[in-house]
Amino acid sequence: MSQQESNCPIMTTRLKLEFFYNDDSKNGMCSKCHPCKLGIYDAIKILEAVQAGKGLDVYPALLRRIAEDVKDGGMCKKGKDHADILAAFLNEHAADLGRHVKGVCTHHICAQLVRYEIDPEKCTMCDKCREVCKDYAVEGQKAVPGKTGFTPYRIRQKRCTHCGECIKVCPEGAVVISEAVLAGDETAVKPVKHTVGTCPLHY
Amino acid sequence: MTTKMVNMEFDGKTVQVPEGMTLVDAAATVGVHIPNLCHIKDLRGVGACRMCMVEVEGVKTPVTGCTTRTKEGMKVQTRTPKVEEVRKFVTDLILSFHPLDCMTCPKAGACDLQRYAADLKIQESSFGRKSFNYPLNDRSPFITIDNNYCILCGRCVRVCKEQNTNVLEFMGRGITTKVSTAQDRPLHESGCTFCGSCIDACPVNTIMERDRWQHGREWELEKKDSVCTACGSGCSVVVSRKNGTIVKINAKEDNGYLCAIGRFGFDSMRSANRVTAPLVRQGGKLAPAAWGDALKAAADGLKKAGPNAGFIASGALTTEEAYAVQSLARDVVGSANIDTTVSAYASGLIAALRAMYGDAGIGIASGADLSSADCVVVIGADPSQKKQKLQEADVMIRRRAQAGAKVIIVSTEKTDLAGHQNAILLQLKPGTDAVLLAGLLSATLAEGAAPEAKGLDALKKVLVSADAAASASGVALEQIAAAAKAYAAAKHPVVVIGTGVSMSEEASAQALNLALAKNAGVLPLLLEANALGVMQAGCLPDLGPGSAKAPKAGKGYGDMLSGMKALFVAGPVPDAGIKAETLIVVTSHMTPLAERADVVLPLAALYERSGSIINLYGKQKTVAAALETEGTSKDGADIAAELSLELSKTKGFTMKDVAAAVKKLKPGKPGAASFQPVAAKAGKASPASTSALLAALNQGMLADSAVAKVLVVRENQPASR
Repeated sequence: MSQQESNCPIMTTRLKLEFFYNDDSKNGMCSKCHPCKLGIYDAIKILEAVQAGKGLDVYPALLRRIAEDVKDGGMCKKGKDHADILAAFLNEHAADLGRHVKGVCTHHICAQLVRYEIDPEKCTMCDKCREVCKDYAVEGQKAVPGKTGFTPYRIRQKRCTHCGECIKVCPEGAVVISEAVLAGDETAVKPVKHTVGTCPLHY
Repeated sequence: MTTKMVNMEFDGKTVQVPEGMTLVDAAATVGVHIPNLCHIKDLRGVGACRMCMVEVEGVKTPVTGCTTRTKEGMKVQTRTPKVEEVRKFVTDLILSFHPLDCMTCPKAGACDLQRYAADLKIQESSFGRKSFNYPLNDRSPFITIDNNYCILCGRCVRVCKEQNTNVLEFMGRGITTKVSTAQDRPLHESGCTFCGSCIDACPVNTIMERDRWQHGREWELEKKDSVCTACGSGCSVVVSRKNGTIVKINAKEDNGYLCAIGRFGFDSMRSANRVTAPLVRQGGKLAPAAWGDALKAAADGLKKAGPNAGFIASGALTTEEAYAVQSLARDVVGSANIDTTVSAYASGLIAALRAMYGDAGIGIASGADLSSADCVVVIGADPSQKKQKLQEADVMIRRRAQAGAKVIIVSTEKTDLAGHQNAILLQLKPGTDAVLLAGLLSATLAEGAAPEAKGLDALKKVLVSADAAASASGVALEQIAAAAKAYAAAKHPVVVIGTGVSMSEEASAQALNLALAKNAGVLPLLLEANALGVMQAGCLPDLGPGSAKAPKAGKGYGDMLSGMKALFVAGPVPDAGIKAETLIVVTSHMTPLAERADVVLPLAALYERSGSIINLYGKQKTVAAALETEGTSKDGADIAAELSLELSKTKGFTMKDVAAAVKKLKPGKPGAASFQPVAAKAGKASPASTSALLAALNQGMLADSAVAKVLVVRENQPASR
């Protein structure tokens, strides 16, 4: 439940709905009427897609429709209450949802929408983050006093799973979370034809 | 029961509908369709699919039409934007996980989802496409379940529970709910009786006949209403055929019932043991012959026998055929020896009914209404879905029991029905039926039942007390008291009399007395589809057509089994050691009896002939031919007519004469009943066993059918784990 109190409203709402959907006690969803059991499932799936950086522009409208129709068509109070939770989220955090759909989680919660980076100014090259990273995403060489020419520490984004272990161990607070660069905003790199032994981009 | 009519408004149209009906059903009676996916007529609504939402004036929020009941002055709007939006939403969501393959789907054209999607103009779901890739469950012999198509309406689960079969159930929760059996075992290992009610209930393609795929689209099928005559229930069916063969058979009524034999037994129409041409015994062997020769051989035999000829008409014949047979016997051959197979298992009951209600008393069943009964007394009968006998009656009784009616069972063994929680079993020693029923009757009278019929005082003098009945029959006194209390408290009781007592006149009379004490409906559980119609057509030794006294009483069924000069047997008749000098068998399928015959005349099978029947509930139904006759087989009335013309050009009749006479035939009205003072004493045990009898009656028809094979296989299996 601790994550339900996280700062990101998308995360909070999704977890609330998911908890309701999966709860088979008497407080959970009774799984009887169609709008609730199908609608809330779809709302969860949409929020999941948004959090995974696969947001579409129609999603806010679809969520609004789910909230209204589950409220109108639902059988019991439990389902309607959760439609209200969804509606309240849409009313209060419309801008936030819009940013998420664009791929930005300003709360730095939604794992797929953030980047972990190492601030080279703060990094003392102590190697703790590289040791703790289970995905081998941290690259770098431990600095030996008196010597120079070490590769600075950096995080390979493709490997990083945003588990957060490196943040915990870093004594300097050098690992920072920044908003992800949108897939759409990145300038597409054209494939370059390589011939053997040469790189036209001079790498 | 009469229902009060109330004035209501549907979409501004003022209509009159019965009070207390669900809005969906009430709207259907006046031609307004309220969309619904989970509602089944006459079943308690659950309001799951929310498609039936309507707005009622004076109620703030929309309500579901399947759970709201009609009331005086109600104003219902079925097409407001608000409810249309909910319908669109639900259909949209369902389409997001329903395979969109209407191009090959065998349900297309009859699919509710397809219809509503078209009505609501939804081409494609606006929600994300989902699929759960359930494996196809086609492990059972008749029914496939494809959960990928399932829209989770729960109709199948509810019909299964409502008729107390309890095979299908929901597994899991949320959108991944799956309709399945206990532990996901195949249907035939889960106690399924293959009645196929779930097939009729399913609005989409999830539950289907196994061989339905690629056997004609819904709109290519020619549909014909007919009646199944495999057992006494005589259920109404819709026969769908394509290119002259039957593709499937469905129950006609919404929420109607058909058993496995009625629904899947149609392969017997084209089975290998069909008799397709007349057979005449030549040199000790049956050899195919021309119709003329066979008729001549049969006519010779009958002519030689004259008044010594015997005639047995099966209870499965249509009224027309039975009338033709009795006409052939009485008018043409001049023999009074005619009886029906009903006498083989219900002679005592027929005698008791006639003693009590007059000669027309055999038609008493039409007064019994099982669908509104609040107490059912089942005497000497074991209708059972699991044992495949009189399944429809079992379902009707169980439906009432599920709704809270008490079921009192008087039987020598623990019947299937006795397992129900609302059943009271009075398990007696064999042969003590009459004593126990008398004891039950006196206990009922002691509970305060006050019958109006005459003869009560005479009856009371010979009546046995409950104590004496308890000690004689071996039933606990408390059980009798509990049963009497339930029976005395009932408002619409029905007394069902089965083959366990119907051979004994005393026991049957006592059962009828018991019914009369509460003015209860009497329902003789006759085994053959047209048992009542055949008797009313005049196929009894001393009763002519229309329950009029015959000029001369002849021999009955038991006396005709041996020693007749010629015996004419029409329809499926049990092979009970029948012997005659000339044995003429009219049959659709080869039976052991037909193999011993001198002349075998091919009868058109079920769904190949037309006529009318009266089923065990006393309902007149029309059988329509849905198939071409196989080979040169003919309608039974046609055979009798041709035989009559062969016998005598002057006295002979044609099929037209028969049809005209049957049209004029009016069943007599049962007279006012009075109690029969029958002394109750323990007698011999009644020998008739329903399943053995039914098996003997349907022996020929089902011998080659897949249904029989599967059911036999299952009987030999150990009880499910």
